[in-house]
Amino acid sequence: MDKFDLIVIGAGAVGSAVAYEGAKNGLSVCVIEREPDVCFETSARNSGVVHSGFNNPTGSLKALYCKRGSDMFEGLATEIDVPYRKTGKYVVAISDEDKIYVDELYEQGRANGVNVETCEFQGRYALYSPDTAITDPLRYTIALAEAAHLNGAIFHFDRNVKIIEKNSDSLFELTTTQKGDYGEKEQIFTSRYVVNAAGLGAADVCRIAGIDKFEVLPCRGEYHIVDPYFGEIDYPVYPAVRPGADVLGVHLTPTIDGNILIGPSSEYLQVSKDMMLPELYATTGEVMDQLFEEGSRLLPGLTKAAIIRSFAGVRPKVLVDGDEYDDFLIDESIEGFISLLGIESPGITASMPLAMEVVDKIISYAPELSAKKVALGTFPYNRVSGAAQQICRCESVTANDVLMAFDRLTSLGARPTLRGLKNRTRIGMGRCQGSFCTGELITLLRQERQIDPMKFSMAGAGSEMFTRRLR
Amino acid sequence: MKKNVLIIGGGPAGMATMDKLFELGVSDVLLCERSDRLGGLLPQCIHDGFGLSILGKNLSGPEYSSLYIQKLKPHAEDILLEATVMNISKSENEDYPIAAEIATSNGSIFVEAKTVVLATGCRERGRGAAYIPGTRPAGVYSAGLAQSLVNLKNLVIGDSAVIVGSGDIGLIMARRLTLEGVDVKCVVEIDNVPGGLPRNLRQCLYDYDIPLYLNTTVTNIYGNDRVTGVSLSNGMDIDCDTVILSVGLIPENSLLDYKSEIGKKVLLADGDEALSKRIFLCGNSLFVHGLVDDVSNNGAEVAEEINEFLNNKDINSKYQYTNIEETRAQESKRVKANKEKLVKKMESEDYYKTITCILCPNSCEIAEDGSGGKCERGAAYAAEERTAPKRVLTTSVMVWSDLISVRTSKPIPKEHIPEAMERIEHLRFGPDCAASFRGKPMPSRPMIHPGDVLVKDFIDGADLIATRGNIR
Repeated sequence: MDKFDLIVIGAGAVGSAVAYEGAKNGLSVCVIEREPDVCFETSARNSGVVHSGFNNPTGSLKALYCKRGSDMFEGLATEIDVPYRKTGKYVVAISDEDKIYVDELYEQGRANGVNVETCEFQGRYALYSPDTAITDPLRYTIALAEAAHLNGAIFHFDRNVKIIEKNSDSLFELTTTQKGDYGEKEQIFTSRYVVNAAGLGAADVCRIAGIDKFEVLPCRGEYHIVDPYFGEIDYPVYPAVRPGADVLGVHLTPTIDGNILIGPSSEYLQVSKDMMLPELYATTGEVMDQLFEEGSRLLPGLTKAAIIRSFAGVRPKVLVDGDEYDDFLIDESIEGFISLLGIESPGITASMPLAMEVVDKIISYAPELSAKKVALGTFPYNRVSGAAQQICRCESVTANDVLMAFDRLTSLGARPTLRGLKNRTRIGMGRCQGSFCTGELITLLRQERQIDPMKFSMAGAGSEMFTRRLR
Repeated sequence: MKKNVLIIGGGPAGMATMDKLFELGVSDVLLCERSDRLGGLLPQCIHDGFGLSILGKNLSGPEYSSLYIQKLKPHAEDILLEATVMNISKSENEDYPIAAEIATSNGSIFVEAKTVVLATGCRERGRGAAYIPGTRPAGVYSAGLAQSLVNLKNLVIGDSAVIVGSGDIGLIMARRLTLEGVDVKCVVEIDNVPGGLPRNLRQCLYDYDIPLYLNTTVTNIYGNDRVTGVSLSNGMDIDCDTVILSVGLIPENSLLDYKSEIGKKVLLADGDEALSKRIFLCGNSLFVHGLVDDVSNNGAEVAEEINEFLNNKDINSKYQYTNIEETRAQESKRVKANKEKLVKKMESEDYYKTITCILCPNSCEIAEDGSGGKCERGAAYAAEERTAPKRVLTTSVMVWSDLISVRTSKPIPKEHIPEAMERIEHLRFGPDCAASFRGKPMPSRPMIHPGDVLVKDFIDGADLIATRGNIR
């Protein structure tokens, strides 16, 4: 039986940050994740904005942790070698009636201690937030997980938590099942503390532990990604809209890699019990059209051919006893079992302060755990761009980039998938969307890492890419 | 390094340009190719139909490509493989005003050139540009990727497929997958006319009774881990585990960057008349061509004009960067006119009864009574096509551990193709079997050249010949 100080359920941004912070403070940490790799769900599907904190009600946990996250993000990004760019952000009043919303945001920002000012933006009244920044949420989450791992945190993937109970030593006992090539495998882990950072699955995990009052309310946001050759924007531009207005209030956000994101939309989903995650992430023709229409008003000359991919993310909003709770929620109904619920936007920004809060709490319960504090190194992905054979021309990814990502992925314990390698290297994320490099990638992995193409999947078991060999 | 001409891309356009430049006696030419071999996409196009127009021969893609590779062999030292041009910019050197940075496995090389030819081909539109809603499961492939996986990587991508787009690659893949046992449910086309050549419509769809739905799009893709089906705009729901997207090709000019209304990216040569006269685009990077023969012609013409340019003649070429807007506009006009003609033709009942002769580029349309041809061969061809159609079978076999593309040495009766595929399935060339190559046993991995006979008298008196070798 594997015994730990801390088990984290969920390897998204928050779970990985908790693991990082825990390992940094000398705790023995185990992370349990249902997907085959880190950062496959909510943390991978968002705008990648480091919010400054003017957008959340004063006094809310969102405002508190967002401001803290915004203040510390640049230092953290440097420490774990993640791209970060301070862009500033404009929230623009489209009509005269909307000016009031700009003023409201300004007052709220000031009250939250955020640096904001009002200004003119292309002849319109607007709010300017100089401290808003952008990052790559994928590389952020992966870097946190890898840094945690190098400092002793253990990751287990493809695992669902089935039972959570306290044993006679008053330790938490987690029974997990793993879907493998030879049927389901059961494994039990024990630990003194548990952090539930399961995102969309957080309410289910609570229920398994015997806490029934929460439900996750999925709220879908669809995006279009624009071809980097269409053009770039320097900073995010959001319209100031009345809450509940009839328009999406489409945002334009630059990504750190030179794309423009159009979106997200906002749509509460009716979920049935047998609905699978990929269905939540489906895009819809209606919203795609709406995004395109509003997007092309802001980006003159935009054509559908300039959209290289459309995708959706899902905000894990939380219901408490059936009512929507419009904030982050930290629950400790069971002592030592800390659940983080409703971690939607600004979750990436707030992930580290949230993790610090949780780990501090655990250490205040058991100060002896943090005695063996270790130093964290930095672990850059030294991309050998340029001077090496290119596999993915669109994103300048070399064979070495892919192999290094592969080795780090497997040493973390993750299952190598196309998506995992994409998330780490950006292979196939460019304008041709993998139509040239996918075949080269398959050959490279077969030749250099003995990966059987027949077992290679897009995103885990069931999504194998090939059905048989030709000859 | 200083060069007269820098050619970017070793596909048919780049190879033809280089070939002609040497013929004209131009020296100091460098060709950069990002993959480890010449040929571009030709090696994965194992089907026949190449060379009809400029060579009068019906070749497969690999064979067509190897003709040029043979011609370029004496100039091997002027060809860089596994060399990706990362960027081109304006250099300080007045005589050699174009600077290029080339990434190789040994580091970066910097080249200064008098002229540059972008023979960078085109890229496929993906699902994003095809704008198809739904889940994002495994099993959605662009047609070119599917083609390379099946024909070069020995991997079959699914059991049942819907093909989106009736361009030539979509049609070719419909036949290719059907031959290999994949159940191709249908081809859907958003337009009111099929996109591909009449020859491909006949030989790839009609031959195999694959339905083509015009004015139809895919409105949703279903499936969680793997595709389970699609909905079509005509109201049909189709079960399949694979969706193949053949939704258009876009000239690849990213080295020049795109013009943008809102962004900072500006074209390298914009506003620099002198520099833009030195940048030539040819083949599919100029506009997407239907036939590779035309691309080769492009290459030869570009070479002639560069030769003039280097001899200090003032030229005004449709391939020059200064003129591409106009060249492209003319091409769109031509395509549009052709489409209008086709729409009109399709309105008449006779359209479905005429047969397009494929023996020469004239593409005569032979009516049911044998009329309409410019020569007698057309009537004979059409008569055979109506009564006893014959086809060249193209597929691939495994020889030891190499997937070798093959074809029959002459057309075989259409109805014998299933029998031929059955035989292909059971063909084994390897250490543990008794099959032979050129009538001799194979004790070790053989060297295979294009044109080698793998099986003599394979079917109906036709031999099975390799169209691609296993040596570089």
